[in-house]
Amino acid sequence: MNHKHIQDNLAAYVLGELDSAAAEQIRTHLSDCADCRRAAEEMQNILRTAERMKEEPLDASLAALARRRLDETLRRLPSASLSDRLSHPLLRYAAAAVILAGALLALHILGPQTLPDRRSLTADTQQTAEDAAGASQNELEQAAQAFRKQDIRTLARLLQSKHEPTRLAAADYLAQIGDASVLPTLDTLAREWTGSGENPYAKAARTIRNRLAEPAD
Amino acid sequence: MGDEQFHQLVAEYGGRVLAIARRVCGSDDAALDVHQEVFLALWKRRRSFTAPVNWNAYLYRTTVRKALEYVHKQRKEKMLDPEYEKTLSAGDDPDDSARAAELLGRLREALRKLPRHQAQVFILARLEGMDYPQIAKIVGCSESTARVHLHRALRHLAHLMRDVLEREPV
Repeated sequence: MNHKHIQDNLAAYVLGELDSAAAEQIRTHLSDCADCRRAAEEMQNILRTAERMKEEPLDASLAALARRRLDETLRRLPSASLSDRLSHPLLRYAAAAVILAGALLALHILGPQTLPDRRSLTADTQQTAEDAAGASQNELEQAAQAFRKQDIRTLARLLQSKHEPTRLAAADYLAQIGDASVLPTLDTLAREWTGSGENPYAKAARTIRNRLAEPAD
Repeated sequence: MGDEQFHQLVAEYGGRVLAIARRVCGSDDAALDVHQEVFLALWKRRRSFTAPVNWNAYLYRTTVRKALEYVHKQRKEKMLDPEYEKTLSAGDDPDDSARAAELLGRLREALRKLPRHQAQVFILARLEGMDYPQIAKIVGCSESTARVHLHRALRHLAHLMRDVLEREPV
């Protein structure tokens, strides 16, 4: 084997893929050629580093945590948002057709001056819903990240988001952290809550107060 | 894809997605983020998504791609915790530790710079321990092409990391 041939086969040699005769030829060449020897050592070093990456331990509880986080995020996504309901292309066209028919009917009944000028109602409506869902999703991801970092300031900011799922997620995370500084905001949100079932903001505030009242270890 | 099928996929492949993300990215936090990204993207598109013939291959490819993107983004923002990688070395000598951490960091960064197939094949072969027939199925190429990708990846990585590899080995 000449020098070029050796270089071409060096990766296969380092990976142990050559037969014994070819490997022996490379070994003989390496004993005489400093450049190829160095190149082989560099590749071996990369394989050793990759081996270290491979052996990094995976915490057994991580899978459960990942599943819980994903479930939480899915639960907090705007359920059956317009964007979600319209995700199938055919449904998008159908919805656009319905809205367009409505707009044409309104134009026919009320006259052209009553409709928004030169704007696509279907596109605007759908885009607004998608923007809202996207913004809310970004905030949910921010909240999850802030929770992992125990970043109370970010969670407190997200608690005042205009998106309900974000506020609920932030309240839940803050309740788990248990910081008193967010109690006034939680109390305000609890007073403003008009949903059915247990008031989630009141529950979060109560959890924090209970935790603060617990005697320190 | 129905909601039930989605949850079955998470149950069946979630652990694998997490493990590969953990190896490629090097931290639990990053692995959790990539796991979330992979499945959330799938969830958002589940109504219009045409199911792949091989979910295993699809999720491996997607996870590797998203994990490499994550490493790139984090490196760019200098947010990866250097302390974490220092704990990965078994050596007691702090110099060895620092060098091992540097090599790990540089290898993650270099993988991101490889052509997509080379990075995929290297990760599947060296981090996931797969053989060429398994890799060929996932990447969607022949076994001999997978072999060529791995050899090129190794040469390419050596080139990208030459400055750090030229120093004394650990």
